[in-house]
Amino acid sequence: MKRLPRTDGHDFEPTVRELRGSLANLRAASEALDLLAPPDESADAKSLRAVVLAEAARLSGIVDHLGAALLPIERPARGRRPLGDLISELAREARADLDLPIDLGAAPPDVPDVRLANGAALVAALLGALGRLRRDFAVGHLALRARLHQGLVALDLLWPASEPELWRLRESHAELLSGGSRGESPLRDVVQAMGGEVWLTVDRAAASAALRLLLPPA
Amino acid sequence: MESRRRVLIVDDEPNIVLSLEFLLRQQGYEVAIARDGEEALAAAAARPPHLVVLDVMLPGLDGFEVCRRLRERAELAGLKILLLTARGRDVDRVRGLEEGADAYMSKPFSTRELMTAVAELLEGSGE
Repeated sequence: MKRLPRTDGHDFEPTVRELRGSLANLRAASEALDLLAPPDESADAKSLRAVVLAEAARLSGIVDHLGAALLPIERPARGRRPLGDLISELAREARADLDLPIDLGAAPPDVPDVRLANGAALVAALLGALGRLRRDFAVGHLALRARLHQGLVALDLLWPASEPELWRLRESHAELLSGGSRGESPLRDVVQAMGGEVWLTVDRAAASAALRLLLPPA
Repeated sequence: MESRRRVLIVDDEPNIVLSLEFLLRQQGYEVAIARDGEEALAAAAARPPHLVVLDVMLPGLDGFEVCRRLRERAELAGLKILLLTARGRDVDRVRGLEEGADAYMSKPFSTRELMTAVAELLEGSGE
């Protein structure tokens, strides 16, 4: 079955940025004009200027609200997500969207739930990174391991990789984590906005690589 | 004797440059303008400013890279840098001030807050 391309909040980012920029220009100009008002200005002109200033400030609040509603990376971290649900959703979507099976193994019983601003954004960002791994590095399957690491929930997505592939991964890890073309969410930004960390690890001795997420427990 | 504080505005948006330049001059600052990163680095070398108001989104070198390069210059050790961001993907990077900026403001900001931030940053910087 052919699926439509995934759409997430990041598709709105250029629009929200544009709004912020344009409104900043408008607001700065109106506040500068306010200083230029002559002392003998008519009451009508003064009232109209006050409207422009008040509406510019009001629009600023609306744009902030819009950004927080549309862009997961602008939201404060909150909420709680059972780790099992998150992992299951990721595995299901990776198989359906990318034809990439993930061996889930068994999460140890002491691994707590994680605190997430937006689980859907995290899954979308992970799928973006996994899609690149599938496409650019011919990764055919993954294993997921969960554990507690220094008080954080560590999720490792592991795959076997040869020596040349490990070098190639090292060279392109920044692009892999920051997202690439339109539609691929910036994994690092999403994870960091949730109070977590993400990095790519390579183990030359074991000939394997891993995408490691460290997420705050709920 | 030179006493006016120099502020370099780096932004490719003429509409905001016009307003910020006016407001900063009103406050008694000497103002210079650069429209991209390369121009900013050249302007800072030619006549070192006390403070740079630096937009993150610039053509060519972005604001983060300009910030990093300014920080590499020993002769600009006392320079203050105020980043302007439209948030989005910038937000965490800016929040961490990883590139050595002293402060940041998110668009759309109030120019009154910006002027206060400029004054506070320059208050602590010696000539």
